[in-house]
Amino acid sequence: MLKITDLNTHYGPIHALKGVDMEIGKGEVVSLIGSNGAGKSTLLNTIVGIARSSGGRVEFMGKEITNSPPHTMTKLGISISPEGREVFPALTVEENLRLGAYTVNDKKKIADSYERVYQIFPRLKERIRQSAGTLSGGEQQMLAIGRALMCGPELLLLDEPSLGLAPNFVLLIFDLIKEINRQGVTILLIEQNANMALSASNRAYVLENGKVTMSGDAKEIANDPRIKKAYLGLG
Amino acid sequence: MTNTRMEKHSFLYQFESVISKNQKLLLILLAAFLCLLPKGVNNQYFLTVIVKMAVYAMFGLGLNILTGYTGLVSLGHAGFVAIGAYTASLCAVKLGLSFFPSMLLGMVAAGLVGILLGLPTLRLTGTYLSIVTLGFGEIIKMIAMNWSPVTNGTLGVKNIPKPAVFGMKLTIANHGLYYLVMIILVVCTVFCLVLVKSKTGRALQAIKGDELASVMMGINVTYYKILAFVLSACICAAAGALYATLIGYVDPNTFNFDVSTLILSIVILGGMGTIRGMFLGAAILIALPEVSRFLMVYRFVLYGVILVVMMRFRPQGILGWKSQLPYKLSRQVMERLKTAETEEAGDNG
Repeated sequence: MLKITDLNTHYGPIHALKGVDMEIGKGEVVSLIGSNGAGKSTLLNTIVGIARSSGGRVEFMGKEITNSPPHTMTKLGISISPEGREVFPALTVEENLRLGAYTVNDKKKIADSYERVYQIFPRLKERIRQSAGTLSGGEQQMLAIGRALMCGPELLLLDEPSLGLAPNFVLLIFDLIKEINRQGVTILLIEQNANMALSASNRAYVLENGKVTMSGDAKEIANDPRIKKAYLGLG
Repeated sequence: MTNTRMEKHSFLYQFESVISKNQKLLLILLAAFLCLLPKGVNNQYFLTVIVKMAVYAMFGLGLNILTGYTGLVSLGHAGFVAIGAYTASLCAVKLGLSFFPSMLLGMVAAGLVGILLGLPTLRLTGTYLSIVTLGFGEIIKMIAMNWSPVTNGTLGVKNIPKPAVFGMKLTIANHGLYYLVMIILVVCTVFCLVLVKSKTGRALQAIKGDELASVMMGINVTYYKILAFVLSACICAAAGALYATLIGYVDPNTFNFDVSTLILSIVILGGMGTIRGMFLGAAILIALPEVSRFLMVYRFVLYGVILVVMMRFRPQGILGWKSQLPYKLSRQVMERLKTAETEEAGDNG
């Protein structure tokens, strides 16, 4: 579904992505793990066009989307829940969700999306009239993911969904991610919490210094001694 | 539960619920009051001040779209006012056009310049943008001063005709100008109210909240920022055209930096991102120098003191509260909520 070939990104003189290759098939949950500064967020930003790539190709459903402007992504069927949640604090939960469906004009589709989001996140339904700034961190994360679902995406990009959340919320969020995937949404998960990410996904890529150093089945990667040592705090 | 009960007892909640219950009646009363006002007080000076307030409220409404809703602070809105005022008065004086076409041309001119000024905002935000708009205001003033063959330079444009409807000249004396300004103010206000509730308005507020997240929602931030500039410029230009015909004379110093700060003060004092605030802000800041005339030169000190005290005790603006009433959901959303709830109840049972 998403195919990345030899993707390069420069921030001025800094070579942040050094030829990344990646492929995501329909219906998969793929996680991308790596330490701080490995280029995870850069890769995500380059896919959606926030950062410009200096070489390589990004293809989505057979169509080249390299360096397309970021606001065209939702129309294509790619939705992103950005790092650090980034909800609109002054707007209500309902308004936040409605903004998620900004590019959808079919009223029935929007209503269906609402129902789906309420069903996955009943907590948001209780908070529907509250302004998003008054939600707890976990609820804001739910809102960010729910908002990303409102445009009915094929591919959902999640940037650090567990960042700064209480442990029980982290478990809940990962359960919900699996549930969203079961409903047919392909997911690319970017995480520092490698343990949780690997347990929730089918396949994984390990990114180090702007290069993919390892890729394959999530279980195999989780059992790899080097990964255990470097990311899982084991061994 | 205690929380909701507390909210219900708060003064603001009660005040707002009374207003929203009697909304229609209050609007009719307000309209009747404004219609009968010139009949009741047949005082030209008083009416001129009221009309000036209305014009400044329109300036406020214009800047509010940009600053209050989109979060872009402009320190040069006098520039747009000047473009509207100059274009309209020159069309009227030199080309002999009547008021409404002149005003429309002024709005078009300001809108085009709004696109130009909007372009740098794609890269600039915050303080840097404010400096650009500050420079813009000064540039417009300099053009008005030095482009003598067209603008008549420092001498300004004299004898700007009053608007006429069916051959009748609208002046303050026959109340015509008062009604014209009020009608245009109402049109402006309704436009702003509709805009804020619309999809476009939501996009603007999202941009203010978080630009990156707005992009991810599929909002074309570039387009909406420029649109905000254009709408803001058009409203200010329309008000500028009214101002020119009201005063009857414009020169480059009519639209100096003080006017820009005054417009921004109206927005901040009244309550950024509210429509109601613009009227109160304009009323206070225009009435103040008039009622405090007895203080003579010191009246602008009072003016400054009020602004400083305001910023200390009520930085969100006098009317800048967030509604305490329960947020109204659209009917479609409500229905979906209900079906989801009954399904849940069914599952449990």
